Amino acid sequence: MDRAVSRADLDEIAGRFLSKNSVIRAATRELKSLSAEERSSLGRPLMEAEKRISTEIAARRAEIDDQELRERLVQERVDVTLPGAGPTLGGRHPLTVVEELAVEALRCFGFTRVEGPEVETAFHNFDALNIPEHHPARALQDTFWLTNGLLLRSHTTTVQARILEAGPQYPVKVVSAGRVYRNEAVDSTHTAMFNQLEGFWLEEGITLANLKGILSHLTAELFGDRRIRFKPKYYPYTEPSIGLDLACTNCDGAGCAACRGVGWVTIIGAGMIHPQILKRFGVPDGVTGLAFGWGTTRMAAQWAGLDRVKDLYDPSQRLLRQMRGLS
Amino acid sequence: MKITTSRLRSFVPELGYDARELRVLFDEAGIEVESIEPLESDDLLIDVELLANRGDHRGYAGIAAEVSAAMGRRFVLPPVNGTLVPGPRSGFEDEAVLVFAEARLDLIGEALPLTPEPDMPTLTGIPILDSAAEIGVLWGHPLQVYDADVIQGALSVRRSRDGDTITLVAGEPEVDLPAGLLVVVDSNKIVSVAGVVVDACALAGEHSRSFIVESALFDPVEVRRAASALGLSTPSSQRLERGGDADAVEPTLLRLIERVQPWAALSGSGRLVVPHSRPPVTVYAEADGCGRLLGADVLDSDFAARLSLLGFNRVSDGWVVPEARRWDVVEAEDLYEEYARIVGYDVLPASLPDAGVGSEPTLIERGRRAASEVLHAFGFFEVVMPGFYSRTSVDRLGLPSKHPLQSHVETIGSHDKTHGLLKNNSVVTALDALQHNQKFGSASVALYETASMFRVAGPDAVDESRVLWAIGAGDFQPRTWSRSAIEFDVHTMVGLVREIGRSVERSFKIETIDPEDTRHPYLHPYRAGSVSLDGRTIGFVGEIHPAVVRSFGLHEGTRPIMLELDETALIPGIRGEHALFPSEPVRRMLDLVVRDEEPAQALLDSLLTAAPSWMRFARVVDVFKPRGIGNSEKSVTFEFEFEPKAGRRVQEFNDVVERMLDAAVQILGRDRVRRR
Repeated sequence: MDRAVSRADLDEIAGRFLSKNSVIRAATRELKSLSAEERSSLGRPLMEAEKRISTEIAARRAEIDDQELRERLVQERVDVTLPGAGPTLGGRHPLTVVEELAVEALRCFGFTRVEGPEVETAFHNFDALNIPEHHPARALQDTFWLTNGLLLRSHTTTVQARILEAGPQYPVKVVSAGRVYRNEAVDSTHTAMFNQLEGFWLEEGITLANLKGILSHLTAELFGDRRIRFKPKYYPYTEPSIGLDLACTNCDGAGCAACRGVGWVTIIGAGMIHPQILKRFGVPDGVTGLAFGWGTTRMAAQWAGLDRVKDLYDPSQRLLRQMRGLS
Repeated sequence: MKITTSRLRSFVPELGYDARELRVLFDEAGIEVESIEPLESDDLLIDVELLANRGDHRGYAGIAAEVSAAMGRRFVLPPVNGTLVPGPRSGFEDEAVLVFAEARLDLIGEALPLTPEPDMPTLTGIPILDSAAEIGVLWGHPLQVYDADVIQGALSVRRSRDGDTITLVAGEPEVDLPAGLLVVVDSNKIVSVAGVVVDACALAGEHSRSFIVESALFDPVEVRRAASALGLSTPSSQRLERGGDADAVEPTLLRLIERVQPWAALSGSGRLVVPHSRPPVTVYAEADGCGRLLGADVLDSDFAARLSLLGFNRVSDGWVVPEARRWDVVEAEDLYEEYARIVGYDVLPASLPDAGVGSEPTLIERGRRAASEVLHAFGFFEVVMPGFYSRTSVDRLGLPSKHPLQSHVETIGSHDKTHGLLKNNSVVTALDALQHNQKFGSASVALYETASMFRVAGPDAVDESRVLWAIGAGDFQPRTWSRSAIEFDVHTMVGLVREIGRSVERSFKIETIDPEDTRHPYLHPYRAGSVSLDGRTIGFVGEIHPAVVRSFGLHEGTRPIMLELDETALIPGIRGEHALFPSEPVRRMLDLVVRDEEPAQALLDSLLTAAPSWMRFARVVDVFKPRGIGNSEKSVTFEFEFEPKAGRRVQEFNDVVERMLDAAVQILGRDRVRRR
């Protein structure tokens, strides 16, 4: 038994001592011819021998099985440090990521996302928003006019005009995000298309203080605990109009090359919806509105670590992977 | 606009010297500072970004008024000597002429040229013109200077007529003036477009000995209309199209006369005509209303005191008459904004409104997210691409000349040739993205986008729809150290479409596109399918036509696969009662022989016509070419799963399969399908 090193060796031993033709079985068969007394005295040792051999074979078989398993496991060794072989995930574009962050932050106030068309009428893009023909503010936006008299929207505020035009139930809390267009020559810092996000809230008694409160909350959600300040601005569709500055993320307000020594970066334009717009759309007396918006393009570029906003619109998959933090 | 602190200090002596403090002061005044550069002798050059509605900021005096108010002081214009003589309205009947003043100056000595300054770096070298420009910048009102020897008779104002011309640049041909613009004329010709530009032939030059200087105020809309019509934006038009200052017309002309008196003398007394005064604006504004809008406690005394700093004085209880320069103040909210600005937006209170409960994502947001999660699981990356392209880009699709996709919504006057057409299909964008990646060494791409497509829907109408497109090319799963690459093929994309459908609880149906169908000429005619939902076609899936691949200059052997789905199809369906089957099903297989071109979907549809309600699933489990069938035939193996039920005999399941086969044969015909 000690020389048995494989299952075959054990099978041979079992054949010799435990099979029908084994010496033990042959001796056992001979017992029939003996007296009862002799069968008893000779039969017990034979049974005990057979049992002992069987037990020893089983024990040895277990040892051999264990040895073989150990050897197999060694042979089955794999290098788990090699790269995984499963499918790799894709990912959302940084613009979608920052849009969803902002929309999510606004949902806790009850804002609902509404889409608007990119091809617009001059009415919705300008006239309805207190920018009549020959108003100087039209010069702010190099508009993409279309051959059919329509235009590509130059801001997402068009959604506000469309919502108010439809005669909504108040309060109204809407957030809209999407592409806007300016007829500019493309270079490393200018794109003819970029993305904006805009929110507006109309309800009886809404105040500038509420606007400041919402913007403070929003910037804390999006940018963390950073210093902010409010300053006067001009937008034709809001009055008062304000801008929200965030302390420069590079110098924390000390002034550096990144913020051109200002220490602040304007990130949000906002204000109370202009009374002329409220009048135009017959908004009930007492209902006031706040509105705010910003370019998500620059925010997305910062989020993705890009120096040039133009790269956001580059379809290079290699770059998209890197922007998602993938190699 | 660039200003120096030394010049501004001549208006505001209390102005500080620290650049950082000045920046804050300007910010609080609502005048955005772009940059501050140090100059000699403690002087600073400040580049300010002016508000579009504040024409009065386009001069030192206007900026001084704002900065003074921000410092808690009211700015008062210094007095000027002299007056002009009121003139008759004759010749100024047009209602767009608000104020018109003119004076004749004659050279009496050697004119003193101006030295370029940091805030006025470019000068003409003609002293009278440069002096007029300087006065205009200082006092915020433009002056026009004519060569008096060229002017015939008295100046007047009228509308341009058909055939009128003007010389914009000396030595260049005259240009036609559109009819109806406000123009200044002498007895013979047009000498300027009112408030915009002086005719180059009438403009004072280096040899002029006598000048007529015009200081005028026109309806701002007319100035802007004329500037737009001529495609011009001059310092004069920029100022006057925002509403000039009626009170500055005469003083500014007198300040120029005073400025040049060492070398030019007033001839006569000049004249001032006020044919049509702007109707006086009176605004009712009260502290309570201001407080309600701002959400702050506003005391009446504080409200009045702060507004007076900006020149807004009450004429009676609550009524305010703005100064003539403030065209932007016409209603109460304008004054509330002025009050808020002078208090400081950082000082005003902030509070969160009662928001009630939050909101849920909309259906389309949910559908979009669900679809994107499937795409990400398949390894696709989202891109954001421009909404336009060029005609050259579209031509690469090789569309027939009358094909509907040849018709585009077009832009006018785009600065970039690639912005000429609005996209009406996603294929050009997708292939451009692929080509871009190949150019930079990435042969395998998996990209998607949700974008608008624009189609002509009439002479002045656009049909705008949003689609989800995706393109895959090269390796769907790249080669790794342990296994070979798996390439994108049509079936990968079909699987993607089906998973997107499942993610939004929709059952998208994919059917073979007729090779003769001309709607998608950019697709491989035998490797493409249409996608439908509830009988409505919602998109396509398929391989790009090899000719288009070649036309886009893609790498040899590239087989791009695309899908495009109407985004409305992603609106999630209502989750139905999904039966659960805890018991082991009874399975049966059926092997059919059909022609190679027979679509599996058609076979399945015909089999299902005879399926009992207790059949759980039917699916294709194998497609192969066994021995013993024709060269142009294939074997399609279906697996059916049935619900077991006590008492349902084995023969019953077999009979169902036979009935389904009979149905398929009956529908398709014996020549199209048979059991293997």
